[in-house]
Amino acid sequence: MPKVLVLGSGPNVLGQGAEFDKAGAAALGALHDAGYETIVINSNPATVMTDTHSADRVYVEPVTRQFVSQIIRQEMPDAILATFGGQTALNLVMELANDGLLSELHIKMLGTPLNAIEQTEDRELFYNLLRNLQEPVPQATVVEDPQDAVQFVQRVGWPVIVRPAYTLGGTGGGIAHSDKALAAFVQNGITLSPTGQVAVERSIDGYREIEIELVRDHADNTAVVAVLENIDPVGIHTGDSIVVTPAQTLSHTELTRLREAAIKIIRALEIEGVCDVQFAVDPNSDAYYVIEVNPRLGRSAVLAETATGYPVARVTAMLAIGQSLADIPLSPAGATAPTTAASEPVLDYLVTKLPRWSYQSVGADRRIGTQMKASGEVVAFGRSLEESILKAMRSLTWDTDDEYLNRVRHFDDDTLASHLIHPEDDRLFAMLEAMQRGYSVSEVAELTKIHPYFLERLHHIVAMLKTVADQAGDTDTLMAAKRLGLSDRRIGELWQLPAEQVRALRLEAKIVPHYSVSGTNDGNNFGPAKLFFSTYGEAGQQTPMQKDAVLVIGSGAYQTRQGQEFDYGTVHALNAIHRSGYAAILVNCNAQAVSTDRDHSDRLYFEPLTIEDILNVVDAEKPVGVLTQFGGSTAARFQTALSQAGVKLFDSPLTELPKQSLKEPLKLRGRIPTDPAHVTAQAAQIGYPLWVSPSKRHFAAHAHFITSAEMLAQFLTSAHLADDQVIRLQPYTDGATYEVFGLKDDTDAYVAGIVEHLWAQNANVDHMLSVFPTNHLSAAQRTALAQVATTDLGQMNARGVVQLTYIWQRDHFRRLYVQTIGGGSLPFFAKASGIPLVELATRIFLGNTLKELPLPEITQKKRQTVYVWAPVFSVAKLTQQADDLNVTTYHTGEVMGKAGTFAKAYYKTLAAGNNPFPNHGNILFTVADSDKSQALKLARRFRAIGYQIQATPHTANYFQAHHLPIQRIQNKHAVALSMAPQHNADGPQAIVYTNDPMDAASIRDTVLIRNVTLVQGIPLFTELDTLGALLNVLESQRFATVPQGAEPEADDEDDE
Amino acid sequence: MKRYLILEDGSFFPGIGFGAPVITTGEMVLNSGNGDYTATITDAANFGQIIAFTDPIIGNVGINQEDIQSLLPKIRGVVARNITDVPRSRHSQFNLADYLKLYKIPGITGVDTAALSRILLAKGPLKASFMDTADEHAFDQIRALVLPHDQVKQVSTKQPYASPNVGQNILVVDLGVRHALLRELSRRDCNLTIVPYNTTAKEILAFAPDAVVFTSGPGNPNDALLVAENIKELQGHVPILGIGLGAELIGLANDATIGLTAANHRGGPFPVREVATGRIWQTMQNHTYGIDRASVADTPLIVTHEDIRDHSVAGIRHRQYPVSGVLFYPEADPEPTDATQLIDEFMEMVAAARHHGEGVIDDA
Repeated sequence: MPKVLVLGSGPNVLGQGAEFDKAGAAALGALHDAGYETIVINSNPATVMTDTHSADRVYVEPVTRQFVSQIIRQEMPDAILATFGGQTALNLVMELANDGLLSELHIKMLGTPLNAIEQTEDRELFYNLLRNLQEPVPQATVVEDPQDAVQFVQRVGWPVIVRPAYTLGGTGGGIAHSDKALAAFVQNGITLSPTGQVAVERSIDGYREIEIELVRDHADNTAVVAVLENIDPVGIHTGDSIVVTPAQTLSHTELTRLREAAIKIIRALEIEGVCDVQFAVDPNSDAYYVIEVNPRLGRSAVLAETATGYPVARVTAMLAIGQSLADIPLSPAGATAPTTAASEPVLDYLVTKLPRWSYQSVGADRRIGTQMKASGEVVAFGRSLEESILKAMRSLTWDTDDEYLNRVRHFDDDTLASHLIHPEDDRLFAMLEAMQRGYSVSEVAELTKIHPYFLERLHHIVAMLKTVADQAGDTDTLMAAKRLGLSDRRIGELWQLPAEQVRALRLEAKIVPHYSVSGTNDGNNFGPAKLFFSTYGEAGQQTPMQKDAVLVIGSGAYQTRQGQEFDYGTVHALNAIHRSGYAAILVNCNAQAVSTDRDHSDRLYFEPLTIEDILNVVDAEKPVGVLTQFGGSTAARFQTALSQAGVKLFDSPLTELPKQSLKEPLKLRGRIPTDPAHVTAQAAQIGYPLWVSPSKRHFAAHAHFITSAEMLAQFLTSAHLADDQVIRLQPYTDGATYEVFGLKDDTDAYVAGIVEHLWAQNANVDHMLSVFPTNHLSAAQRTALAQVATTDLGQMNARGVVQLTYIWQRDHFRRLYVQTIGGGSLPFFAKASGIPLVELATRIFLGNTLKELPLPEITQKKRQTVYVWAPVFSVAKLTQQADDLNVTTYHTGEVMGKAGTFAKAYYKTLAAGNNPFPNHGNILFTVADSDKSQALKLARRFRAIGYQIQATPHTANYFQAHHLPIQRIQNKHAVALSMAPQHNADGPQAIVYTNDPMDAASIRDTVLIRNVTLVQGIPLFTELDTLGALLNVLESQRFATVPQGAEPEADDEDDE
Repeated sequence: MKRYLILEDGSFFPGIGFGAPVITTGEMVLNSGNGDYTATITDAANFGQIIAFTDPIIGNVGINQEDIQSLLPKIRGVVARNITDVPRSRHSQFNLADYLKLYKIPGITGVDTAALSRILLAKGPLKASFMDTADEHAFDQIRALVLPHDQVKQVSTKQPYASPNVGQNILVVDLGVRHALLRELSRRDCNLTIVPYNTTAKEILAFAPDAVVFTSGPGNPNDALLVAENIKELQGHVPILGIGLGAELIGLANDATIGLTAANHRGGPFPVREVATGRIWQTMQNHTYGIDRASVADTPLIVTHEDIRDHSVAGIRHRQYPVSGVLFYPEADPEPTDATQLIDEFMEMVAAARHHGEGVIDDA
């Protein structure tokens, strides 16, 4: 049986996310079915591909040269497949090949040849490839020096686009209109590119942007899976663009020309699998340019798979192992005209993708451009473009939709015009607003460079809004509006009716949606007919299910605070429902989510997550009940409305403790109004210092660190809080928090385990390190905590998974908050503990009691393996926020490290997060007086293996007094500054920081250092024991190199 | 204006009229493709038919000369889910609605084409009508409709004409020729003579062609037996290429039988396998009738291409003579050009045959 190693993409970063897990999991399944032995490596614990049953052997280890090389030598696979691991895996496999490892061990590279990676990533080779194929590329040059870029611009003129080689999602690139911007982009790009190369191209801003996804087999046969058209013109990253398929503005002749070019390219690259070719097409002539080729599966391929039903990931895996397109059957057995992978999908509906931005991913600068900023995306199906756009808009989740509408409504005319010219994340809404204010299609086209065809469609929507407003209560108008895709809510606004009343009117007039199955009406059949979407005024194809169904509500678009870790629960709940003999039905709108892979549900409703659309599905499917627990706060917010509508909820919402589905402090009753006296009183009760954060839902991003009543008063007067706004107060506490994972049925409670979150309470970085089993609790404390949690669970009317968080305060555990929406550390806990919490919870929902379930006993014995969880930040993408204490920084991805000791596991998380512990460089010490002697010994050990030591004044004095050569750093703010990327070589590579009992200033310093280190990816040690353990790891990795006569002094051995 | 699409099986669909506001009746066929509505509307192979588009939006690039396949649209009606107007541009000389209106062709939009295509996929072509009301009278009218049998006569040129060039003398028998075919032949410098469908074998040979092409066209091949007879007479005397209807007629001329196809063969791209090499071509197709595969065994024909979906005959060749045919459109532009290779191969064969003398190859 041949053995294949599949590389995962590691932690999610902006531009490379969960879609790779979705594709990778499907590919592993296909390889297994084809009789291959599969091995997978991925450090991201929230992935489904790292579930134990996903492959024959699963390594949750860093996807880095060091670790993957070791696993390769351990496993000796026959072949390696990098197609499913994004840019990370492609770059890694290049390194492995350059190391000679693959040829030494005769490991075959499947799918994408090395040559293809080089020719598409190295811009010089890329231009050569296309010139040889006689395919046009924009005038361009590759530079390694900013001066060369300037000369190029003198030749071709402004503006130019800068693309660093081998980077992801356009990182570091941009469009330059000036010398200054050019110099900045080029310098930045040279730094960020692994090869130090930057391509500079004549800008073709404003061209139409078309992407073709196609597959090729070993016999040179091809099939085009999808042609995607970006509504936004070239100049806006495709990840930040509104995308539709099928393409809309290309004549058949133009389309044929692009198809041929794409086919020529995939053949020249000899890819056995999928390829994505991006074109820029002149709106005014036949000219087009090839702007990018991705020789691997990517975000657009996953979108194409969802849109067309063509299983790109599975087919790609089969092609990689040498199968032919026509020999890969896709239709279910017994079809009259069987469909194979050689058939090209033809759609009778439209699919629109909208990017989902989060404040945290957009940053303060909301303009969008060549560098991707979206954190996720939504996809909507419709039988007209208007319908799919409108459904996509409300798929963003309704309050985002509202928030955008309110934002653009308040723009004055100049602001609005400037938003049309300089696009921001609100651009779709700004265009609609402009047309409502009387802008013509051609005016908007002029300002936005968007093809008038698309603007005509938006104009149609605006015209319909007017008709609806003019024809209040009219049934025919209602039908027309619904058919165009308007929501009950939007119609209700125009008719000054609550959405529920519009729904009632609708039901009375029998205006209800019917559901179509995607991808079958052309006679093709790319797999089981499972994906349904709603449309009005059509017959649909939905038939009743043969068994009782349970409806699961997904978590929608990925956001920076609600990512893949929520979808993980959804996937496992769906599988558990299916295994329990029910039909598992999912409503979701996120094509990147693994849950929207057809394998995970019996039926998938690709619908907006609004109460209207969910109730419509409930009406159509009549499920025995609905599950919201694993859909994050997106799903949780429908609980009340669903209950009111008489829908049975399996996971009854917590009612005894208000608002606990949101992460709120228990004792504070969550948000409180901004009445200053009230806030001050509450704050006094909590005690200073504390965090204050005004809540603004989606854009709740500012947490202010308040150290005194005076500071609070000042904050309350200067913060311009709206009267009806609420704020959150959170106590500052040092030390770890403890998250207890429990299960609850109607009568009993079960504590499954405890995860320790280090430094959890004191930073406005959303997550710090977590560790399982707990690092700092004694056996007695663990027993005590389990008891407290069991008692607390017993008093709640929640069912399913409950996550309770506590801190240890002197002599007891203090409750902090409780969460019943899954997500967070749930996948980490499940992976680390091996307890399938989601499956168990789902069985409780479906009627089992805890007593009937196979629950593992919580062991008091210390486990042999330590699991460390660490957040990963998309550093390069985020603006410099970290040194601003008033802005919370959110992680985009996560990694898990496992090892025999905490230090080793932590070392792995550093490596997995692409910030491995450095082999040399500066280690900065800033330690409390009581720690200084121990720190000195550790510093000496670092010196002995070649590191340099830096220290802040007090520590420096101590070290110098003990004759340790050091570099003195002025103060902690200087520390933070020295960590900025431009000071990389001179700044510290790791920081050792312990502090004395708190005062406000030292807390500020602590927070500052923790934030900056985490976001910049600099290892931080706050406990000397941990540092000592890590030092043992480092020392054991190398041989001592000591000059004659200078053997280490004996005192180093004393302290152990 | 609210209108109804009425089908002979008793089903009807409401929609909004566009194009010419006239009542129409005809045979309705499905077309599944994305973005090739202009070619479909102007393809003479669709003569007299009402086209139901699965494409969710048509009209989105207007009407442009590049995509047009004949000078005048040949269809009886258009059924769509959405039609759109676009501003005039280099690529769009006309709006679809205006274009149809100009040629007095009615359309109906806003139709549940998803349900309609399920009916047509299951039942094949159906007689249909656009009416202002959907009453019993309308159904009677449809049932009474007698479909024509002389579509080829109606679309074929009445007079021979020339499209001079410097290369091989190719005689094109116009059964409903597409511009794309003429363009591809011109691109290969062919000196073209286009003649009416009923040009006799003798008259054809009198032009002393290096090869004869029988084009695609409308209707049931059994309605064009005259042409099949001509092919029978010609084969062995001159190399022949048949496309679509032309290929079906080569089949008939060699005693293969004709039947309705199982899968949908209108639209594309559809994958076709070249039997000899295993190579797959993505092809555009437009035929309702096909060559019965089982019947080929008893003829001097061999199957050179097959449709991957239903294994139906997609290409044939004569065992003895340089005579071949394909049921898909090998001509490029606006179709995927994968298959233009076939025209190259044909040209090579013609050159070889001429070299050989008399256009006859004894043992192909």
